[in-house]
Amino acid sequence: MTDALAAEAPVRTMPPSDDRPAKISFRNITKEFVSQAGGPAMKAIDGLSLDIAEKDFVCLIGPSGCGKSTLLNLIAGFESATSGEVLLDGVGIKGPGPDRGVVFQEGALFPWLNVLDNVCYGPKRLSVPRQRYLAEAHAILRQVGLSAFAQYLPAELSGGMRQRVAIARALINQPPVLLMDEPFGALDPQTRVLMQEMLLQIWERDNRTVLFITHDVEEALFLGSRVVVMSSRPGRVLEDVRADLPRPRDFSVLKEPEFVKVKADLFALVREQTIAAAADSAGSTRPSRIK
Amino acid sequence: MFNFDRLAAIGKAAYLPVVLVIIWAFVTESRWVPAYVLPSPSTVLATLVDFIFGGSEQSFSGTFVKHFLQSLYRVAGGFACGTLLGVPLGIVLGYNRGIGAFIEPTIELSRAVPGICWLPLALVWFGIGTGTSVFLIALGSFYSIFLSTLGGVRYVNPVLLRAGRSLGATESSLLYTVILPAAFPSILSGLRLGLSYSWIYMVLGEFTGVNYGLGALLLQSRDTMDTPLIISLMAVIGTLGVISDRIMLLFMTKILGMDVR
Repeated sequence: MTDALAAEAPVRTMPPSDDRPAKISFRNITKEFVSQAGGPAMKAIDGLSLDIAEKDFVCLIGPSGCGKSTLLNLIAGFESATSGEVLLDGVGIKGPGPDRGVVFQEGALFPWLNVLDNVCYGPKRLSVPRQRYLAEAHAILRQVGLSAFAQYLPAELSGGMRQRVAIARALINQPPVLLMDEPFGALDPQTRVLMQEMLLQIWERDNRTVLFITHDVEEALFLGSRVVVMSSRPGRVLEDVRADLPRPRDFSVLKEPEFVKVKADLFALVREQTIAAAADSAGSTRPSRIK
Repeated sequence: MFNFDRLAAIGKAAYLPVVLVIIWAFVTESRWVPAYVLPSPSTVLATLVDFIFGGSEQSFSGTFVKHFLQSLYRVAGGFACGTLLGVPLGIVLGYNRGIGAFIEPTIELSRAVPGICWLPLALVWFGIGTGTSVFLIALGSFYSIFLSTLGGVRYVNPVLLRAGRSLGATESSLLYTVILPAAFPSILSGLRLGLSYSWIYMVLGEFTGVNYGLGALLLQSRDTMDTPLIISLMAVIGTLGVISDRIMLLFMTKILGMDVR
């Protein structure tokens, strides 16, 4: 059933990698989680391979539990693969590091530091001279529109403002790779669109390599230059789409016929996987129709 | 400006004590209970003033400062020992589960022995006097300080650790820049609990027959059936507990500049 619908879906599959060298490579990744309570080992990712080119903005979508966050955690160095290789510039990942900035879903700001000190956390650890990082922090806070809130604590900000601080904090280290794990997932729709536009403005200026996890098809197509759809657990790459809408993009692109059509196709695909995942977790007692 | 909200809050907090004192006064004035069982509020207040500022021929008159300093000395010494042992041990064992596995079970096991059971042994080891009190206070405050520190350090939100590492923190700088600040509210609540235990064990330690100290005087006033002084001392010890808690809270938040949430 899955295959039938996938075959029907007229998504244009294109070879994702062009001439640019791969910045990030997942080579035949398998990741199993062992249950602490003694349940059977769970396979989150099964034999996944994916290359991400330098300066590409790759959005990863898929049903919840498909292993998209796990994939991000592997490249971030927070977890290690059960088998396979995760490479950054051809070198295996050994652990987290400031060359890969991470923006988490929420709640990752240091609650005891004000906005400015949160942003300056990275450069302080990297022994950047104080005068330099202070200037950079103020510049980057201006970029995300939070100059007036430098002295505020995270608890005093709205959810959208907190995520802007989180982005600023990750960007100040100037990481070649930016990893974003559903950073706008907890925001209201209006704020989310504004945040997406802000992120695009920043990205279109400095063209970092971005891996962006989301479950929102529209968000993926609006932001990404490439959209990768993962299957339900265990996660595999199901579809790989070049999202070559013109840049710079803004909100108006959402209404263009081409955007709407691709979005509908991808939505159907993710929906199919979500149904498969739900049926799978409900047990293997799917009603048989062959009679 | 007059703050009516604040006034309302004070009113809500104070009405019950006021009512209780009125009932207390009514009961004693009506002479339903003999004065040596329950003296009147005015008698207790007079005794309290006499105890603190002096003015009568009573042996306890004006001796508050002398007894207070003795007790404070023991509380400060014991609490300092409990803190100097509990906080570093909690940090190390919370940070490193490997080391924890060797020490934690023993501490858990020893914790099952009620603090008061240590009194006879403490008397044999340290004799009657300051040593026993300090030992008991250190013991009594140690467990809550240790356990709160351990929990705070061990259960730091893992996302904060990941954020710190991905921003360039090394394992050692992670301890100072993420783990300890994140654990601070938990450590502080352990210290506050430990301090309140310190006052409790101070009384226990001074019940062993030392000459000076608020607990010692409390025991002596039982021997002389001086109920006004007993109640005065209870009020004094309770008030000192509240004041010391406030001072510590102030010290932690204002002087160390740490944020309590």
